[in-house]
Amino acid sequence: MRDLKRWAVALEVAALFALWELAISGLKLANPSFVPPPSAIWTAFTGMLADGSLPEHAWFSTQNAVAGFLLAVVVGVPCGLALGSSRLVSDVAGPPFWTAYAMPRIAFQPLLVLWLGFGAAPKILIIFLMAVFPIAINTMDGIRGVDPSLVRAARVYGAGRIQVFLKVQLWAALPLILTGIRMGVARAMVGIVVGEFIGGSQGLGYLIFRRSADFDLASALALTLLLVVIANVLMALVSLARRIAAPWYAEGVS
Amino acid sequence: MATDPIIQIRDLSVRYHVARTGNRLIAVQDVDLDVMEGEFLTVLGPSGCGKTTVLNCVAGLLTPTTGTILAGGRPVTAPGPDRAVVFQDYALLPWRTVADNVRFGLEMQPRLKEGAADRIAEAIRLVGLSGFENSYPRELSGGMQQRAGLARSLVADPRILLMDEPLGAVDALTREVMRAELKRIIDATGKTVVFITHSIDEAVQLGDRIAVFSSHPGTIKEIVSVTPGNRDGLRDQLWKSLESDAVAAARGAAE
Ligand SMILES: Nc1ncnc2c1ncn2[C@@H]1O[C@H](COP(=O)(O)OP(=O)(O)OP(=O)(O)O)[C@@H](O)[C@H]1O
Ligand SMILES: [Mg+2]
Repeated sequence: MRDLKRWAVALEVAALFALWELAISGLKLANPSFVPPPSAIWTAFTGMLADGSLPEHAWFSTQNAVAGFLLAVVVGVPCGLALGSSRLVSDVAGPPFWTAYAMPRIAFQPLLVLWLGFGAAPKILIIFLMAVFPIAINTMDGIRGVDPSLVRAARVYGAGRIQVFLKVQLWAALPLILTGIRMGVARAMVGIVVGEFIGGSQGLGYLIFRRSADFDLASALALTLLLVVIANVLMALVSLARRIAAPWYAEGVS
Repeated sequence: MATDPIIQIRDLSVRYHVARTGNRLIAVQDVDLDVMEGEFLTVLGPSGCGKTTVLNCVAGLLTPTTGTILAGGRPVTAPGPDRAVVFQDYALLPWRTVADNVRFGLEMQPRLKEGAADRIAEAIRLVGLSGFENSYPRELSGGMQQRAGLARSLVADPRILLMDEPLGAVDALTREVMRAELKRIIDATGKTVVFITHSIDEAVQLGDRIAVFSSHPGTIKEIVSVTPGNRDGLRDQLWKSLESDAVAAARGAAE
């Protein structure tokens, strides 16, 4: 059944690309310069690989993404733990946290460039800002959702506050923490593109905007699809990690 | 009466502050209760009359509004290794195997570090779960999960077992089997038990004495002793005693 579903998904994607190719190259329903067919996108992709532009820009973006994402995990998980387990922290730090969450963070990109320059710093910060909230919020919900009965049982058998946290709350929250991290991965990919919107001349996002501006839509789409593929692979890896780290968590639900 | 009661409850009252409405709700009022060493006391009463509240106070999970509780002669201020609780919803840690869940019953007591493995194996054997040490709770039936909960409560050898409708969530057939098993296990260990139940049959079959609660406010209505001769008569008597309360409680819940 699982295999069957996988094949169905593969077939869906293949059919979509086939239709797309047919509509543009075969039936000429649109101008291929504006809506490039998959074959043209593939040619653009291999071209960028061959002339070295793709690897160079991808390397720049990858470094920023890894830095921003790791920072988001290192900051987001403890923040979520604190917000979820302490009433005081949630009362005092909650309002500014939710205000920051509600802000359109994308709008800060030009400002961050002005403040931090054309280098990697504003990009890393944008990626961090995109990824940190789903991680912190899911972690917080994970801690708050702990079955109170388990906490009572822990207290009965001699657990103090710290042991309740380490032996019950943290474990119970683990699946949701990993769910947050998976969402953070997807947000980080968006952050890559947004962060390179203005300022600088490096990275996959920059390359997408640049090629779009040059009306090289095949290249722009090739890069966008590449980001989609990378995001999906990374999210699948996090799901796998969750299955290994939290095998008790509802199986089959991803 | 040479020995003091192992549990002494005096003038216990508990009021809950209901945050949602801002009201204070009197859950339990003026409860006095003694439980003797080795006694099996069952607690019967309509839903919402405060049975769990009293049990949680004895367990040290809840601080009484007024009154005192002594366990083994010492005032109860917090949970302690002399008292274990078996929960209606089992409260097993889903990420731990049966053996590790049982271990949870003693791992926070450094004095039991030595010989822990033997204790765990013995507790699992006693409840009849040998062979399932490495199973996760979700792989077990409700009855088996409660056996694991029972093993966890016994592993550190507490003097007092507090059971809050331990068979309330298992199916009727398993319930019959578990009842007999429970009796055997408790008799084998000689523990003092406070056992909350909704079943008159269960109360009569298991208890040496039965504390009957009534609601509004929650308090003890009567305490009856069970003897081999009076079981059938007791059933009728308890049913009559509880009927009006039960009907009232059900009506109250329906409104
Ligand atoms: N945390 C709480 N906050 C407010 N009210 C509570 C709380 N816990 C229990 N109550 C109320 O106190 C009363 C007694 O509750 P308790 O759970 O002790 O009853 P019970 O006899 O165990 O009922 P049941 O047989 O249904 O388990 C009920 O009216 C209940 O609504
Ligand atoms: Mg109850």
